[in-house]
Formats: sequence, C-alpha cells, structure tokens
Amino acid sequence: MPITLSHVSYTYQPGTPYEWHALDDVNLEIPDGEFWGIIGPTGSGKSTLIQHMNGLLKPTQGQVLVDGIDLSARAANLRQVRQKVGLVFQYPEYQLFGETIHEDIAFGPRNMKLPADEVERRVRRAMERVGLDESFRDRSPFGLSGGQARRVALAGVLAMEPRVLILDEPTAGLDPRGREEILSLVGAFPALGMSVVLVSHSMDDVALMADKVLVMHRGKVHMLGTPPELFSRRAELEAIGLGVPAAVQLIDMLRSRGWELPAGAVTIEQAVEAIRKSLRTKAGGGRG
Amino acid sequence: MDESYIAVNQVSFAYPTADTTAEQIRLALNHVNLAVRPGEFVAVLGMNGSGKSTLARHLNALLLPRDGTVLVDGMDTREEKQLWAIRDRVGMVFQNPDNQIVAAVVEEDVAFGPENQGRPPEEIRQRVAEALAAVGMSHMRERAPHLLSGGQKQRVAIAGALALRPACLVLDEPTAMLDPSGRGEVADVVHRLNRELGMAVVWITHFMEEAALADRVIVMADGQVQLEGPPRTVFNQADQLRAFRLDVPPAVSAAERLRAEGVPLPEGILTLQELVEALCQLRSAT
Ligand SMILES: Nc1ncnc2c1ncn2[C@@H]1O[C@H](COP(=O)(O)OP(=O)(O)O)[C@@H](O)[C@H]1O
Ligand SMILES: Nc1ncnc2c1ncn2[C@@H]1O[C@H](COP(=O)(O)OP(=O)(O)O)[C@@H](O)[C@H]1O
Ligand SMILES: [Mg+2]
Ligand SMILES: [Mg+2]
Repeated sequence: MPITLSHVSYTYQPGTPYEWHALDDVNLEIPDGEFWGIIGPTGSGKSTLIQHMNGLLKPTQGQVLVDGIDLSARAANLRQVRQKVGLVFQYPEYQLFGETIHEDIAFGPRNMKLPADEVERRVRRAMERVGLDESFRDRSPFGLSGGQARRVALAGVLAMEPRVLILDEPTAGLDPRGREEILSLVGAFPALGMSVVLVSHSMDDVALMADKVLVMHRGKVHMLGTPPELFSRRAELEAIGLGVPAAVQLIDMLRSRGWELPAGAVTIEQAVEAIRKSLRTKAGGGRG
Repeated sequence: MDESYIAVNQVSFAYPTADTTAEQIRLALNHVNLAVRPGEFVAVLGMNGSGKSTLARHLNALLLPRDGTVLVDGMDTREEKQLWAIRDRVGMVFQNPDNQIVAAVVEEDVAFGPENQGRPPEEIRQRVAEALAAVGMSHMRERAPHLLSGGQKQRVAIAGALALRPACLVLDEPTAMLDPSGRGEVADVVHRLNRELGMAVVWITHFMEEAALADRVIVMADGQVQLEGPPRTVFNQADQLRAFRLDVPPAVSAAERLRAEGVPLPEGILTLQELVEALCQLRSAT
C-alpha cells in the first residue's frame, strides 16, 4: 500500500483570524515495507501530515493517493482506508474507553462487521503481538502503566490488520525499557511487508529504526534521506532546533581531536565498531 | 537536625480505590526516605508507575503522607496552616506544557501566583519581570502563551513557579513532550537557576543523560527508593538499572561496549566528553 502525496497543502481554519498554513506543497512517496521516521520541531506539521495519510484530514490543495486510491475523491471508501492505514495517536492512553481491555481492542474489528470468531482471533493475535498476556483480557484499561496502556492502544490498531502503521510519538513519556519494547515491536513490521511511519522527537530512536528520515520544518519537507545521509548534515538540523544522535556527537568529537573515522555511524553500536577498528589500525602500526 | 531542606521520612501512601474489597492495598509509596539539601540538584529516575509523581506531589503538599512525615524547611506538610508557606517554598512544574498555563498573556500567567498571595502591584511587577528574565522570556512577556513553542511554554511555567521565589523547584518530566531544542532550553534554564540562585532542584526524567548532570540520582521502583548516589556511582550499576527498566546514558553504554570488545577504558566514564578524553589518552599511549 504505497502512500503518495503530491503538492499537498493544508490550511487550518481558513478565513478566520486563526488561519494557519500547516502544510505547504508536500511531495513524498512511501513504498511498501519501509520504515520512515518523521522528525521536526514542535508545530512543524508532523501530526497534520500523518493525518492526511489515512484521510482524517483532506488536503486544502493537492492529492493523497493510498494504494492508488485518491482520498479526496467522492467515491473513496475512507473507512476501508482507515483500516488499512492504522494510526496510533499521540498519548493514545487518553483515548482508551472500553470496560475491559478486550473490548477496547475488539472495537475496530467489530466495527468492520467481521464475524465474532474472526474478531476473537484478531484480538488474541494483536494482544500476543504487543505482549499482553491473557490476564489482561478482562482488566480495565484504566490504571495501566504508561507502557501497558500504549500497548493496548497499539493492539487496537493492529487488530484491524493494517498494511501501514503510523505512530505519533509512541515512546514519549515511556521508561527506557518501555521505549525499547515499543520500538522493537514496530521494527518487526517492515519485514512482514508493512510500512511503518514513526513520528519522533528522539534522534536516537530514528537513527536506530528508520530506513528513511523525513524532516519537517514550517509545513515543508525540509530534508529527506537515510539516517547516515541526514545526520551528516548536523548544522542544518541544529539550525531548526533538531540535533543528531549521541553516536554522531561522539564521532564528531573524536574527529575534531584528529581521529580518522569513516562517516555513517548513527547508532552507538556502529560508533563502537568504528572506534574499535580505528584503534586496532593504530595499534597495528597504521597512521594516526 | 540535618541540613536537609526537604526531609521525607518513612513516607507511605496509597491512592483511595473504589474497590474496598481488595485484599491488599497497593502502596504507591512504601516507606520512602529522601533528603533534599539546599541548593542540591537531585534527579529522580524510575519506571512508569514506580511512584515518582506521587513522591513529587508530596514535596509541596499536593498529597499528604498516609504514614511518615514530609518536612519542608522544618514545616510538616500535614499542618494545614502551613500549606501556603510550603507551596511558596516548593514550586512545581509538570510534564504537559499545554495545560499549565492559565492566562491569555505570558506576564499575566506569571503574575498569577503572587497575585493570589495578595502582594502589592509594584512588587508583583518586579517579581514577574525577574522571573521572566531568569528564564530568558522577557521579550515574550506580551505574547499569547498558546502561540509559544513547547520549550517556551515550559519556561513560562517555570517563571510562574519562580515568581513565588521558591527555595526548591520540583519538575515532573518537564522535557518528556518537547523537541530536542525545547529539551535543551528547559534543562539549561533550570541548571542556571540551580547554579546562580542556589535553588534546589528535583528533576524527574526518563532521559538518562539528563540525570547524568545531577548532583545525586535517586532510582525508584515499586514505590521504594532502590538506588541512590552520585550519577557516576548509580550509572556504574548498569545491570541493576536495566532490571528496573532503566538504562545508562549513551556515553556509559558506549564505554561498556568498548570494554567488552577489549578496549581498556577506565571505569566511571559518564559523559561523551569524558569518553573522548579517555579514548584519546588510550590512543596516544599505543
Ligand atoms: N485546529 C487547529 N487550528 C489552527 N491551527 C492548528 C490547529 N491544529 C494545529 N494547528 C497549527 O498547525 C501547525 C502544525 O501543527 P502540528 O501538525 O500539530 O505540528 P507538530 O505535530 O509538528 O507539532 C502548528 O503551528 C499548530 O499550531
Ligand atoms: N490518581 C491515581 N489514582 C489511583 N492510582 C494512581 C493514581 N496516580 C497514580 N496511581 C498509581 O500509583 C502508582 C505510582 O504512580 P506514579 O506516582 O504516577 O508513578 P510514576 O510517576 O513513577 O509513573 C502506580 O501504580 C499508579 O498506577
Ligand atoms: Mg504533533
Ligand atoms: Mg509520573
């Protein structure tokens, strides 16, 4: 289910004093099976952008195609699109509503008018995937820990078996383990042919997970590239209030101290590998 | 008495539950002891649900202990007549930049506290001006708060607390919802207030690299303080921290991996700067 945006612009509350041009001529194409990270300063249009990808918002100008279907077309079946393109909102724990966790997760598939046994199968599968065991089934979704509540919300979207999964800052406010768990969970989807779009404030998370990173700034696509490409443009990122992962900071600091290190390390693991190699070369009588 | 400004002694707390038949009361705080000394910067870490916010709310009498005592500048938080004196001394800043700001103009928002105290207008003006200057937001005093960035909103919230001239500032995950520059802005401002005004700070966070900059780190799990010490000592216990669903700062993690690969780095590396120094020394020694 490739997603294509052509010349998409979006204006909030047009014609009022609150009019705001939140997206400005956005063009992009997300192919199947890719993991995209979206970063950008607060207010740069990230949340507005992803709501265009499943038809929650319609472009003021331009076109959004999901699997070839024009979401603005009168005949477009938006309900179907929203099942195929699952969106996990920011702080989804505030949107849980079921009496039990089971009910909350079953809401989507029931809405799809699936037979009861299919709903059941999907709820089980979704809970399994996010790592919620049977004991959670009949518990209330309120009073869960941050990470658990996040997983219930994610399971609710997964139960619709979407082909594209979009998450708006899913790890904000989670403890480090909770963050790792969510990331490794969604990181497994591209291998199954699903694409993932992750909006994040964490350069480290994006460096670790993404095939491609999109940088939004003032409603425009400001930069686009692989993590190594993007994070080598540190000054441009810092100029708009973003940064680079810790690994890149480390490599830069060593370089400024005369180390010769290849570009491209964006995770701690990669930086460690580069440093180790460099030390070994030196010890083996290399230059330095 | 010791020299602590805030003294938490054997404090236990449980939230009221609707389910009165529950066999066991779940303690959100379980015999917690904590001392915050004047001018000290304390970071509090702990997995979601470990009791950090519950503890924070005890420090300025938003919650009262079920057992044990909390003393602020010698005053017991359970004594009602001290309530406002305590809240003047301990300011609170919360996670969400969008629901802490009450007024339609920045300076009105910052004036809210001293106005509530019934201070004379001239003094209010002065306090507001000082507080905004302290967080670097003077030039935005006439702005509408909802048009500010997340980091700017948090700085306004901090200024609102500062206008009461507290001796201690408690910040409950103040950077969780911010972008990288917002995080940096807020951390810089609070460290400066700590350094220049000697304000004690209790900083709750899930970012290990923020905790690395504190004088002391407290690790909570299951309503109890499990580890406590200077960052260098606490972050030297990586396995323990991971068992509490936490982690170590990136520099510690990189050093750990390099050591595992046989690179003879010294113990106790905490920051990227320290790691770079140690690596450069190793390299010139080979
Ligand atoms: N309902 C709305 N009315 C007017 N402006 C809005 C509305 N929602 C968002 N905006 C504005 O649109 C811009 C982009 O918002 P958003 O997409 O939420 O950014 P991000 O997710 O990158 O922080 C912001 O300046 C925001 O203030
Ligand atoms: N208002 C509340 N009512 C009932 N239980 C609560 C409330 N707030 C927190 N708790 C429970 O108290 C425990 C500690 O929560 P909290 O102090 O918020 O932890 P943290 O801030 O470390 O995530 C958790 O088990 C949580 O579910
Ligand atoms: Mg957003
Ligand atoms: Mg909390």
